[in-house]
Amino acid sequence: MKAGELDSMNDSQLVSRAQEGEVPAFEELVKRYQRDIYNLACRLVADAEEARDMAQQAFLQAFIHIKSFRQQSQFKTWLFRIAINQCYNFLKGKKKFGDPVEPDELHLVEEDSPETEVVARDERRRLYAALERLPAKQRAVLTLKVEQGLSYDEISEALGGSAGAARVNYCQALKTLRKYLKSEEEHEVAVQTTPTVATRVSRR
Amino acid sequence: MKWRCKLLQRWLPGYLDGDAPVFWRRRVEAHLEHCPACRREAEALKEAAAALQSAPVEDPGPAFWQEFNRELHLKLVQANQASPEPQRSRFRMPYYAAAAAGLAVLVVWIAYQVPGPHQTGPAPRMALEAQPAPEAKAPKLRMAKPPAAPVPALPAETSGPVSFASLGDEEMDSDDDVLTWDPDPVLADLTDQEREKLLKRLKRQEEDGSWQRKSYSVFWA
Repeated sequence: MKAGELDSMNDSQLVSRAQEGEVPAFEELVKRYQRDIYNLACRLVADAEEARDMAQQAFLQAFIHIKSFRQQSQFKTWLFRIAINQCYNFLKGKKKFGDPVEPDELHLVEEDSPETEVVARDERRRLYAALERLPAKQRAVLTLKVEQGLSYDEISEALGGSAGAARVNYCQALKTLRKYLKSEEEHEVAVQTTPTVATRVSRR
Repeated sequence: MKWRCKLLQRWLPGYLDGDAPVFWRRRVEAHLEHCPACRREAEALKEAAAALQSAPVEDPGPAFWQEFNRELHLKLVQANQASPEPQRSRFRMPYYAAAAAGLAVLVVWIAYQVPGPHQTGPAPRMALEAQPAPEAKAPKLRMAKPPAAPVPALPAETSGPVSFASLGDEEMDSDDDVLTWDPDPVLADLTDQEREKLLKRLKRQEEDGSWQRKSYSVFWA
């Protein structure tokens, strides 16, 4: 089979071929969605290495079970669902055994200028700290909506439930994120002012 | 917060990303024009979404993806070779059809297992009559009822089906106990052969004086 032939196929055709056991057809699907799945996993597990494993596991599970995929929904949302379940399972295990992950471990887009980099790093730290405090489902819905640009119907396919529930969940997630961002900001201000006060007290 | 603000704020995210229905978009738009609290809320939500968009996850680069795809390829090939699932049949019974079939089987089974009050007499009799060799089929017939006791032990008020199919001549002719029950309902449920045997025995006992019949029946000719 020619390489260009797979490129020109749509998802449905590729899925049909993959269901017949054609690995190259499935690998074409992997190429199309690997970045989306990796980004989603990064947001959910907040660890680049783990995110890579989660993405690989998600693709492997999708390949193993692709014969049961009846193409009643989009392949993309089905894949998101598998990846989200993988991440949920990982987070459950992490919660059980305790494995804190530092936000600095994540690979983020680097800025050019050192000053802007410092500001951006602070903002990112705040964002990741706030994201970390969000429930996993709200993190997933935020990523799917804001970063992947899915509609509420597609989000409901990926996360389960109805489109209305996805909308409410997204609204709640945005509000909670904003609240946590605000509290992280206040926390940083408090931490920065505390040494000054301490110095004044010690001088007296 | 007013109830109107509370209601419309649910549609704020949808309004901001243009995903809300036209009806709600117009209502939110009209409401935001004269409600500063909701305008602030909308701004805050916009900022939160923007903060998330401003810190995207970095693309790890082509080397990462090359390695990723190489590892995944090995796993996929391994999975493909390890578990070649048998080709499933194209025909798949819908789940509701399977459920209906299961239910039908259950209903039929229950109907045969639980005899109704009107079903006590004729049905087993028909079954008995249909069998040329009643001895061979006896255990099957006795399954639906409490274990069939020997004839003399039956209580007087017994009106249910009684199986004599398993009783041999010795058992039917045993004179261990005295008959104190009314044989007419029992006689009605027997085959001709069984009825003849029982009648013979009862007549013998009547002659002995060990049993006296209370009433006459159509079988007592």
